[in-house]
Amino acid sequence: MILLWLACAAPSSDTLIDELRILAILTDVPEAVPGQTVASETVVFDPFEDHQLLQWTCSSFAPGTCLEADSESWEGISLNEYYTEFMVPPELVLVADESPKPFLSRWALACEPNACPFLDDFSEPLSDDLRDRLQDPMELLRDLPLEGVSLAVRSIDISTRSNPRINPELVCEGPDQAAPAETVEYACEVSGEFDTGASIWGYTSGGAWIGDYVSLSTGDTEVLYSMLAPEEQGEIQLWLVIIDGAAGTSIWSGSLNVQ
Amino acid sequence: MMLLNALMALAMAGEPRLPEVVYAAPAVYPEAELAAGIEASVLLRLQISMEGEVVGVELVEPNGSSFEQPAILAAMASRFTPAYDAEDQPSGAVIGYRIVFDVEIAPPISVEGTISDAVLFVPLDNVRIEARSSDGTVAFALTDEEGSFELAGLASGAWSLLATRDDLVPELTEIEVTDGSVIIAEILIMTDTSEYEASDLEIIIEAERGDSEVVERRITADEIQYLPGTGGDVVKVVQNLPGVLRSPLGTGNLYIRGTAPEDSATFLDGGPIPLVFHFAGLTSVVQGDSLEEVAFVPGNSSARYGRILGGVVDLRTTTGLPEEDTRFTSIDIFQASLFLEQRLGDSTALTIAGRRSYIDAILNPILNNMDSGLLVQAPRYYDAQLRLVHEGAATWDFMIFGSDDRFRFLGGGDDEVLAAYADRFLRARIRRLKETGDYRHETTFSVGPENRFFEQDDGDSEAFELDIGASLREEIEIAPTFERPVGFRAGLDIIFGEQSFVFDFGPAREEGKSLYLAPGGYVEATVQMGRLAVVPGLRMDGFGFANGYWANTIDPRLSIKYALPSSTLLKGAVGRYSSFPTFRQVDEDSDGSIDLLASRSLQVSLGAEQQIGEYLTVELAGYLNEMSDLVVGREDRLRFYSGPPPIGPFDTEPYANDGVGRSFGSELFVRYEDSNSTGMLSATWSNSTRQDRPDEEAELFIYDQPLVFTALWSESLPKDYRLGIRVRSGSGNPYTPVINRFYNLSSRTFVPVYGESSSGRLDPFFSLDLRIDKSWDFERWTLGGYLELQNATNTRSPELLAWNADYSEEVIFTSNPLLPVFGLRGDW
Repeated sequence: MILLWLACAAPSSDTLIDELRILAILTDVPEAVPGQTVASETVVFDPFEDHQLLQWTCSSFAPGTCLEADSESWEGISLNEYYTEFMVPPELVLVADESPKPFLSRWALACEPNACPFLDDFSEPLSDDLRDRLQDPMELLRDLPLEGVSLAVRSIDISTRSNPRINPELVCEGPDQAAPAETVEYACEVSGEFDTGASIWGYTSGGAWIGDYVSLSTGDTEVLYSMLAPEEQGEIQLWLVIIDGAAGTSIWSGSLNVQ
Repeated sequence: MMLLNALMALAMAGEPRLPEVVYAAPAVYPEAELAAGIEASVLLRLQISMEGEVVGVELVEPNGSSFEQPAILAAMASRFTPAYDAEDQPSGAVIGYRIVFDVEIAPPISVEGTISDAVLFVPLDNVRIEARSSDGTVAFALTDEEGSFELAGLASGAWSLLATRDDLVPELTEIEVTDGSVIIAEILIMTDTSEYEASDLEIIIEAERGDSEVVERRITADEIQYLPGTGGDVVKVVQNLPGVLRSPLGTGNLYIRGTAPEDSATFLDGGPIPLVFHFAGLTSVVQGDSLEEVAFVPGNSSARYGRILGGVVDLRTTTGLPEEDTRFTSIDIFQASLFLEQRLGDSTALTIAGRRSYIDAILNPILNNMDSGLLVQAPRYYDAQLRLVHEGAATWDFMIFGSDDRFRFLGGGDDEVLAAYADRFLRARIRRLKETGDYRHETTFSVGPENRFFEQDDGDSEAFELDIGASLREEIEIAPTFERPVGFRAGLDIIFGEQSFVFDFGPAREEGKSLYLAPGGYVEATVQMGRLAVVPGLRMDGFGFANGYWANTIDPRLSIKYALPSSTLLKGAVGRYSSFPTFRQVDEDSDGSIDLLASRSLQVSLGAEQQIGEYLTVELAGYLNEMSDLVVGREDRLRFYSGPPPIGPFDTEPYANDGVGRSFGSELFVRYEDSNSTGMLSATWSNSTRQDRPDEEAELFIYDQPLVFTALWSESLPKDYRLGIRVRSGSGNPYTPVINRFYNLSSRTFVPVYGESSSGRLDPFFSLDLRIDKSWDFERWTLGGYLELQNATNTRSPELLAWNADYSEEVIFTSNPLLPVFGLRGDW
């Protein structure tokens, strides 16, 4: 317990990304109306840039099943496309804002070469076996290696509200050069509606951010976030991801030249 | 004629006469030697009184043979004429007397008998038996280590056997001896230890009085003071006993016979107390010097204990006034203690005791020098007891005691609390105890709050559970006696109060409050039939909350003991046990279920105890605990854990009585104790499984430890030194491995994908503790000191498995490194 708390204020090794990782799935709206088409962008860090990326949508009233699986063509499925569009199933409108509340998840699976053999044979229409496995991604993971695979999910709220939530905004400024092991500070302007859990998460390809994240509260407009530059020289990539505590998210990316 | 007599007297006066044998009591021929045809003679020196009685016997050439004791006993029973001096006056004399053991004329055995404790059924040695016939002939015998004795060559007719020993109530038994037959006499005698008062100078660990339980443990305080790893804490010795699994990370929780800590219960004088150990199990919450005994019952407890599925630890304070005042203060690296027990007049005594740990004072500067931006207040605890005992027609005992454990993490500002945890309770207890002979009437009432509290981010998030409760126990007991072999115990066991809880973390706020009432009653009989003792019992409990929840249970119980003549005690028991859900589990306003039933347990135990020689005792016990209607579900709720945080996958379905469990195993306990040495060896083999839902498979209980082994030895050395060693080893706990994970981008957390449940197991545990004690006696006080090396081999045994943030690596928390502990204690 003591070590856990001390770690919170120390350079966080968890912010260092040195292997294949899906960092974010950005959607143009975080809260969608049934039948609405949503644009999506997936941000992946891959030090070798030779991965495959499978994305699909699962909308449901209960875990383990996807409405999309009932159609011959799985809505929103794509292979190796980072900018996609998908439509929120219109069926969800019938029970929106009622219980059980429907949910929509956007899944992304990134695999290094040979890590996910079924992607080599990917074709539509999907086989029954793959349909079953996409409906239960945790079962899908049981057959995949721990290394060289990154599976991520984000949720998109289904709502018919007249004033749906929008994504928060995040703009950061900081030095583009630093000495090895130097601590540098980034000043970020934020805007949006922040619920409990709203925060900015740091990721870097070298060094470490000071702390896993910075918490946000309603009314916050400026945030300072520090990072420790690596000992080694060279250019590193930086990402800051803001989540608003609901479904909204945005990303800021930059680079730092360590000399 | 007168002249003739005078002349004869003059003639005789010059010839003193030695004693002559009037009756030569037959000596019992040692059985083995008789069978082997070995003959012998024993030369004795007898001191004969002026009345011709043997008043002293001494071996002239002692050699330790088995003939010596029968010869001495026979000589003591023999009768002589007095010696006469030169003036023909009777006088005392010392003579040589040889008893010959001749196979051809060995006297037949007339009586074979055993003498045992009337309550404990343990054999009694060194009991003197005086057999006396109607014509005044006597014979003597002495019981051996197995309580056995023999009398040989008794004439036909009526004989009375009088059994005596300093600590015995003399027992007279009439028998009829006939030629050609052997009388079998089995004599039960009440001893001081049969009764319920333990020595004031001892603290003992033993089974509940009345011995309804199958397994009982007894260890003296003198041993405990010097046992390595216990810090002299009487309650901590329980952790070394069979049936107690090793507590992960040394948390001090009691995992008894494959059950969770919350399934067992801790009492002080029959009233429930919420915890028995301070943080990390460093020491118990009540000073051992306040305790007369600690009853540890791993299973099949008597009907006086309820609302449990596992074992019982009952701390029992002394029941009378202290024989002498006790004052001491002690310090070690963890804590400082003060204990004052003072008699106030003839009938009143006052006790004041307290402890304060100062781990925080040592650790805080170290931790806060790490430039982390945090101020850490390491764990610290207090406990205190204030007690007044008055002895009149009945004993009145008033006591206030409490315990307070807490630690905090502070932020940069002095008043900013990042996280804090506290676990504390306070009790006021009054007890009235009246004992007359075999009758005992005890009334105990205690009241006070107990709470666990956690807060985070300066109070933005908090959780607490608060119970302001009272307990009333009224018990009447009529103990069995030799003349009336049926005893009874009946009692009321009522608890009531108010439970409340708050779990406020972000949007998930839960809170509730309710009055509760839990009436209970029990009755138990003890029927002794010779060597057999049967104890049937019945317990009834109810439990209700103000929201309309009510459940009740009826739990029959039975235990049997049978004492064999060979110092063997066979024991068996079967019984039902019940526990009740918490208010949070039945509160429908916070996702509880009012339809929950009581959880049930069927416990069966079988055991045997064998005394070997004077110093060695071996116990073997087997047990089965079948649990049903266990409350499962909602493992995703925030709650206080009794041990390390559980590792998923979690059952998030609503609460239900769907869980079943099974725990079985065997326990071996070997004890050796003589005037210089104390040794214990305990081993527990066990298996414990749980099945949470009917459609799931049974899996290992998270604290299943198939083998736990502890060996202890403490040896007294010259010049007031004492050395001790403890070796502990045991299986690691099972765990469910993580085989993969995915990333939840909405919460920025990794979600683990678990493999087969409980399919992994941590490596075994091992530790070696060494201890040396030394005491110095001064004119007015005594100083004792010790140095203890805990985990002397610096073995870092795995205790808990966790994962890094993305579940790509296992993180193993290990046991403490080598830790030297030293302490001083001054008594005055």
